[in-house]
Amino acid sequence: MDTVKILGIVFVLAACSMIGVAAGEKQKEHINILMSLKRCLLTVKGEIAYAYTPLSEIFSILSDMRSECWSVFFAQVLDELADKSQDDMSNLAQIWEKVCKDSDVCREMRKEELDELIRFGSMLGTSDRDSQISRIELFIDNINDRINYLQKHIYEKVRLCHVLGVTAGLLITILIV
Amino acid sequence: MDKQDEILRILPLEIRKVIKGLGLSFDSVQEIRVRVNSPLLILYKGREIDAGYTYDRIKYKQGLRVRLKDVREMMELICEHSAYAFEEEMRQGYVTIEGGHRIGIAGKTILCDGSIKNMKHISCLNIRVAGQVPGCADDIVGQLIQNDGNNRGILYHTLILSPPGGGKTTLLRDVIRQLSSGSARGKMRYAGMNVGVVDERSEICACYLGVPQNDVGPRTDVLDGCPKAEGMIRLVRSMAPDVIAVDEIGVKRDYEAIEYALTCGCSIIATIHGRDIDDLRKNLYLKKCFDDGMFERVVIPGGASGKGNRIYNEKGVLLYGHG
Repeated sequence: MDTVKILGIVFVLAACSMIGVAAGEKQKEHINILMSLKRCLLTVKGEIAYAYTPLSEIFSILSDMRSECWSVFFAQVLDELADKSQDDMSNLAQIWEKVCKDSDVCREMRKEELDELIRFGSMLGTSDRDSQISRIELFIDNINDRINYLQKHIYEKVRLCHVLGVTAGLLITILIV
Repeated sequence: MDKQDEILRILPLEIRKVIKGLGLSFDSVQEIRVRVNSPLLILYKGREIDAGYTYDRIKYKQGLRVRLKDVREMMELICEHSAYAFEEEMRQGYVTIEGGHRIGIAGKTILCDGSIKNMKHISCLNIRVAGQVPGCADDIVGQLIQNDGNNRGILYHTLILSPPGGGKTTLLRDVIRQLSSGSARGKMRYAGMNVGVVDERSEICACYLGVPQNDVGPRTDVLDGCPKAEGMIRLVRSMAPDVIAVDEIGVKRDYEAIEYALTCGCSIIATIHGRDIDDLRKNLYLKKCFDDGMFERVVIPGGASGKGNRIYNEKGVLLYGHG
């Protein structure tokens, strides 16, 4: 009987610790997602500044960048843009917002980050080249600030997740036993 | 993508419904005119159709008209949601879309130091549907080529002349295709020529992502979206063309570039607006061109069918067709 209890304790502790580790990894993944978004935005900026490339072409380039976690997002925007048969979806801002709400990668983002991404989409393609580049640079600056903040606190957060996982495991063990 | 899809994809849903409902053959649609608070007008087989009235008379009486919202939506679709990418075209007053169809734009111009910087409050659009008519130059191509004895044809320096909508570009496109392909038919035997096209407005070749969508032959190099004068000089230096083709010459630097190309041994074929040869002589630069014998042939297109083309020499003497 004791053996079973000990095994149970070990499993509960291991499971909770793993959840803590997974939560810590998610914090790191969040930074990677923002870094990937930044790289994509730098591509957008480069294409607009250097080649006046239309957004549909830029989205096509980004959707081919399979190493970036945002490639699926841009592929979705591109698909929606191509599908002009829909009744009320010919506006890029609406399409962008819809994809922001549906896309998997956006679910990993904080609400304020997502709101900012939606706001960014609402101005895409609406003005001249210089204004577009300024807006993109502003958004990249905001992402940089966010990345810097997260990187500064990542060690504490990851550690907190690990400790909380183990502590939760211990608590459950005490309660059950 | 066929012609119908190319046009419908830039139209807002309401207008798309109306046009689809009319069941027109897009091969015969020449123009679609979209003006805010006005009826949607379609030039079809040479006749003007009031699209709203024909589609639904009851709704038409209730005010079925083009709205400002429709034009704004169209502009977004025409510019592929990327206004910045079409700044130069907006400044010029037209955008060419996939398929080579030209959209003329009118609204309030934004001036900077006396020249047009951009356009806003766009209220009128004119969709000019491009048409390829393979074979429309069949009867004249042979007349424009002098044989050098080795079955290598040399094109006379040629000007194609007609008023807007007269079929200049359509004829030029078919001449390019035929020159590039060559011919093995009887007297008209000549080897295919390397043709360099400066397609400033993307109307001749209708390039999409750099690839011609229209059939312009297998030996054709295209400089897409490039100003004519710079493009002609660039082609001469980089692609060694036998023939240089340009659409709608008109300003001094175009003639200077043509002069340069002529000194490099290239043949020139160009189009220009005008009704007849007398019109050309009123143009200061062209008068000089004719006086100098720069253009050896002038072609006046007969129409969309390709029948009735006329060819004149530099002195205005009719060489082919009925005057």
